[in-house]
Amino acid sequence: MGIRKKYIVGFIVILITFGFLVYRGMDGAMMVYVNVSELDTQDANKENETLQVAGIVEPGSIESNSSTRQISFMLQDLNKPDYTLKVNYNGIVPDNFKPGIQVVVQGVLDQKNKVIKAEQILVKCPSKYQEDTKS
Amino acid sequence: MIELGQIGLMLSFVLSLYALFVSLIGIKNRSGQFLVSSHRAFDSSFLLLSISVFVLGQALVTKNYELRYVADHVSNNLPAFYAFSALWAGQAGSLLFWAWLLALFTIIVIRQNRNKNLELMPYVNATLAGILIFFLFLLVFFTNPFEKLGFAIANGQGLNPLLQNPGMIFHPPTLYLGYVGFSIPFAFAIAALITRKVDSDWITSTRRWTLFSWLLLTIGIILGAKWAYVELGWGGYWGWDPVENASFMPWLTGTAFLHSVMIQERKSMLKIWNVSLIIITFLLTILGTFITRSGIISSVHSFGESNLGYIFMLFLSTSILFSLYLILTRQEELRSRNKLDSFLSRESTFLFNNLILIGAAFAILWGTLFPIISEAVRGIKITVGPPFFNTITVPIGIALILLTGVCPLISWRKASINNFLRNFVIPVSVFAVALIFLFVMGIRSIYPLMSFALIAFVLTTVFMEFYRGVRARMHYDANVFIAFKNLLFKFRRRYGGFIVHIGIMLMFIGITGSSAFGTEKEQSMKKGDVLKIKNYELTFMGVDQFKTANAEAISATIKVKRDGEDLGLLHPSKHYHELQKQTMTEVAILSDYKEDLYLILGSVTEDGAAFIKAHINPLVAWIWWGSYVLILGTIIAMWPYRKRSKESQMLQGTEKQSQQSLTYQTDKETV
Repeated sequence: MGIRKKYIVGFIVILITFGFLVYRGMDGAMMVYVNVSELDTQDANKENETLQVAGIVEPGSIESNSSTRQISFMLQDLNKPDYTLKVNYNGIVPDNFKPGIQVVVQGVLDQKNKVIKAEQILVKCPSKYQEDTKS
Repeated sequence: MIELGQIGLMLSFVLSLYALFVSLIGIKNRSGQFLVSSHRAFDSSFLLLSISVFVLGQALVTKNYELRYVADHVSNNLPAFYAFSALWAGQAGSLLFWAWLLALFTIIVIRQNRNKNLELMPYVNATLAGILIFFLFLLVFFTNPFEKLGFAIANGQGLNPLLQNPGMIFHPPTLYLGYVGFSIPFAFAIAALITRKVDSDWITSTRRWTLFSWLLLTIGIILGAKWAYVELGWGGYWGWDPVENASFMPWLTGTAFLHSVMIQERKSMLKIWNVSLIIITFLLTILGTFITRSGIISSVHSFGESNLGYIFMLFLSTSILFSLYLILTRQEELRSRNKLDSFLSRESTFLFNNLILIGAAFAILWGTLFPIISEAVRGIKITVGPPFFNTITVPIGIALILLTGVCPLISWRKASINNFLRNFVIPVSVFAVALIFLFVMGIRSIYPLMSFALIAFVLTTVFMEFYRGVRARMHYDANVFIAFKNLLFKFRRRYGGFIVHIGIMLMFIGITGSSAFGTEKEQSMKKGDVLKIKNYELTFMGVDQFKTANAEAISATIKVKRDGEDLGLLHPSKHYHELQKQTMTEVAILSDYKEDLYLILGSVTEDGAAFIKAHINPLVAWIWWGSYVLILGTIIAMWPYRKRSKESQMLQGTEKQSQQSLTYQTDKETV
């Protein structure tokens, strides 16, 4: 086999491996990202699939039990405050979690009861950047 | 005083336009006078920007709330050094810092090349002026740090508590030095393309700039990881956040570039590849700045959308089209005159190393940009989580370790089977022994097994290189130490490079250990309760409340025992910052070469019970140690050769003299 051919074969093998890795990696790492008001759309409606829901922690809605670490609150749509979703979470909340803050809740949605069981709560993290001064 | 900053910014914008304009006229008229004029414009531009930076820095330190930027980023009780670091805490300030660094680098490059690269320099000038114009344009028209607040306030918004960490003083500037530094080799590559002088000159002239930028980028990334580890309190140092990826992608392509230029210097091949690589690296640094500063990608880092996006897109696409045009119209010059001699050669390992690094960069780019792509194409926002990046980067990392080891074992050009086998005997045996040893020790999963055993393989090959080199030098030198020293300092680039490889391997030990074998446990604890994790016994002694300079602290006391041996007390805490109404988790870490014990204080109840989360992160300290070795190796590799550089300058001088007459009539001032 000529040297050129060897390289071509080598490169193709690597490219296929990469393609396979990217394909494999995407599977299971992709999450639909919606706002609270978009929960009824088809993309958010898949059973037992983890998704991310963005919204605001409704002030006055946080109920926590520090001995069990259970916390629940209402997630409110960023622009349409009528849309809300109940969030149940069991874990340590991020540092800057507080009423009125914008968060992304990652978890599995129970569409019937309008509840999401959160696996993770991501707070819009201001590290490295400026504070949101609009408020 | 404040007006001075604004005036400096405006004038330096005008001057950079002028610098571009006269560079182009100088190029057109082939006149050195215009070039000198552009140099002066750069000098003045730098001076004026320095004044602007100084004015903004002073306004921050003296808490002059007349400026919106100052009001947004500092507060009365913020210590001066954090107040100064707010210079790069926000968009406007950090872009000003970018522009200032670029102006600084430009005037250094101009001075370095007074009598060198006379053909390239006008175009280098023009390219750097173009980049500077872009950043100053943003600063003057879109995100001006000298914007007035318009009304008086008593106290500013303050610096986010997360940013009040020594990391803030070093991490952003080092990262920026790296980002901006890559503009220099990029400008030389563009100049080489335009002048059709695509031999190795532009590469050797910028070799130390490239190494410098790569080193600073590396340090910046590691400082960021360390900062995240001690400050963010989630137990890890890398989360595949878009902003982290933004700094990692140019690092990957820059690393590929550092390796592939060696092929061009030796064999005058891969010319298209090298110019493309440095162009891509530069574009990725711009993309990185853009992702970091614009909030285009929905991430936990994203901020209020800003209109900067379109201008960045415009700049990026213009640069891409211009570079593509140059490459396509210069294919004849870029064609290599040589061929590779053999598949089994060191050149091959460089090629595959490059392919893998570029592949990794593009896979990460894909994962980072996917949310934007999917929203544009299908109208659905889809995020890609860390599992994607782990799936692709773990096998890629292992393949890279393998190549790092194989590379020095294969000779340049063509390796004979005999030579190949002889070189491989020892390292492969070490690999096998390590594999068996690890297996017996109880490590059964394939990735960490391969990773650790291959690291042993690589370290063996590197030590063999040093051994052979020292043995050969023993013919000239009195003893082993002198031989070692001479070997290292006579062949800095080669052996400095090997030291960098050792550093990288040490870091890989830490990365493998902490990502494959970490454990965590959380528990609600009352006074006297014990949390058992691995061989640790953590006794909860209670919580204390007290006030610090700008926060209220709740601090837990935990007695740590390992295998029954007392290791002292740890204090994971929470600080509540009144001004920003934000709680900060202050983790407690007990670190040694084996593992880190990492404690986080969760919620505390009124009766004094608390939630404690404990992580055991094996081998993390190796990452930081490895980075010191890496820094040392890079400094050795980029240390200038005094005597030889004179010789080579003389050699270059004779070469250049013949060219000078063809290009510019330089007047006495440039000489």
